Amino acid sequence: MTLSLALRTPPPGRVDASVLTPERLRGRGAREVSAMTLSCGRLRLPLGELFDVVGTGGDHLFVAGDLRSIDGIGHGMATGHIVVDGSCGDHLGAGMSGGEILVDGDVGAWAGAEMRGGHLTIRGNAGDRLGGAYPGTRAGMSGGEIVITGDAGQEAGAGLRRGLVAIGGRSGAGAGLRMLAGTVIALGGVGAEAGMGNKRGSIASGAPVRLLPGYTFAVRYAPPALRLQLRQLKRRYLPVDDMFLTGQWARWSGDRTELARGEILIFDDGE
Amino acid sequence: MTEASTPTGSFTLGDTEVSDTFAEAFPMRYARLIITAATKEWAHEAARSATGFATSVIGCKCEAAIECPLTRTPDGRPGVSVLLFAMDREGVGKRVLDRVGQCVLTCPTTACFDGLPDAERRVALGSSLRYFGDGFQASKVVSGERFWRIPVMEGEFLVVESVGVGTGVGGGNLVIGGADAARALGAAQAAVDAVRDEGVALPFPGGIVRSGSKVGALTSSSMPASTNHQFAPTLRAQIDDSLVPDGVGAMYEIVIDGMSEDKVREAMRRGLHAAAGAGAALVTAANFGGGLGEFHFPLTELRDPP
Repeated sequence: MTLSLALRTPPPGRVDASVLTPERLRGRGAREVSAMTLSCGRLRLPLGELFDVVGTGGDHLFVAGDLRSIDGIGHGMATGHIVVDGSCGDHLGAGMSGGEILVDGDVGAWAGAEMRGGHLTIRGNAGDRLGGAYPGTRAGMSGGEIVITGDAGQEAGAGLRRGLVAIGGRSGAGAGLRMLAGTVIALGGVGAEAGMGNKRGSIASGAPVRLLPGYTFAVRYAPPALRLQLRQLKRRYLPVDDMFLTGQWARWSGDRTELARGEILIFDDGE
Repeated sequence: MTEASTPTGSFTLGDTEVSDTFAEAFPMRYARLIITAATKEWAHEAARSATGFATSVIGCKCEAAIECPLTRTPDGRPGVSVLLFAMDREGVGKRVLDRVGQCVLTCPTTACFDGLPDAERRVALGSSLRYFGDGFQASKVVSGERFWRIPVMEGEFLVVESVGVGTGVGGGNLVIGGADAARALGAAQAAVDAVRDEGVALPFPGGIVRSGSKVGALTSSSMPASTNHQFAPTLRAQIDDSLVPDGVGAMYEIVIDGMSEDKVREAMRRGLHAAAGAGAALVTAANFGGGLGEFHFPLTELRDPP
């Protein structure tokens, strides 16, 4: 069963749509869903005022329109599939523990923040703190995979504990900030101050990086685990050039201000 | 000692006489390893090393062989799949750990993956081998599967955390006779070429064993196995129960372990018809009277070509 929501009217302000997950809408018909309310500042708006609702809630949820003011789609979801046709707001899939979200468009900040499992695929750009930790929390993502084809904002993968954040384009400054483990890949390269406070995490940059002084060069080699990760990503909408699969990467160990068990791998296939 | 069942008759395939008897086989547990490397030569080198001294569970504690070369592998490099059989899951676990640790981890450029990712029963591999990393090892979860990166002098050895264990069949066999050793070996080699396929392993050298055995011994109660004297041509005039007919001067056995009863049966069918086509004088099978093995493969049921 599929439930389809098409945005009819731009909302008067930012809307908290964290109710939009397959499990919260399962078994509900179009009329019942239309009667549900969403928070918009101090207002409670019936969902039916904003969206055209068709179908019955099940494993699949389809949301379409200019959703840049709609926050929290798929927040905390554990199962099912959400397809978003259009750009959407902040906190997409934050805290999700399972299921899959596919977005055809850009997403705002905090997408996949503190997610624990599942797959988040974005065919577009993402805002700041992709897969990051909320203020006051030490650990960000603790499982699952985020794949975006475009660029990411600042501090992607901040506090990452487990899981994968893969960026087809560039990531902004501070990627992998205070990451504990897990992997951040940015095929277009990572911005300044990548891997600050990194304990055991892996950051892979497809372009040269100006590294923090806490990192020390180790070797140029072909990392087998990264090759495996990139091959898997290639199957999930991320175009990965073959040169990244077969070429050499420079391994820098750090951050020496922490455990120095982390690494930044920089694509370096030149002589 | 367990007596073999004496063939009750025969049928012919071309000029080849096929005994009306059966092969007797046993349930075994197995693992399937995917070994990759920078070149197919290094992948084969690791696989050959890992499957060495693994002809029989009686003497080697496991039976293992290269299953087939692979064109599609998890890391996209040349690869080989290996099947390893033992009598129980614990046996599979110990042998896999030993052999990957000594023969694959040590081999240049290799990585090791699980060939049975959907199997529920599993044995530890990378989760134990990681300690070779002396605290410098690191893990990565890729698409839900955990791998270990063990630092080595060349770079890193990548190995999957655990491998699946399946229930298969061990001990399917064909015994192929010829007028002399050269012709018997030629027919056996043709059979081996036909038998080798996905899902089966031929653990003996080149897939062929010249020293087929029987359970126990005539002269000792402590011997777990001894020569299958009934198939020894030199003893034909010396014993009353020889199974070597007139016109047969040498015999070879092909032992077939498979991922399922059907895999073994169809492998035997391919081998039987290939041997007959290659000029075998006789094709028969080894059994232990039928009382030991759960699986029986009558040669009469393999009369139709594959």
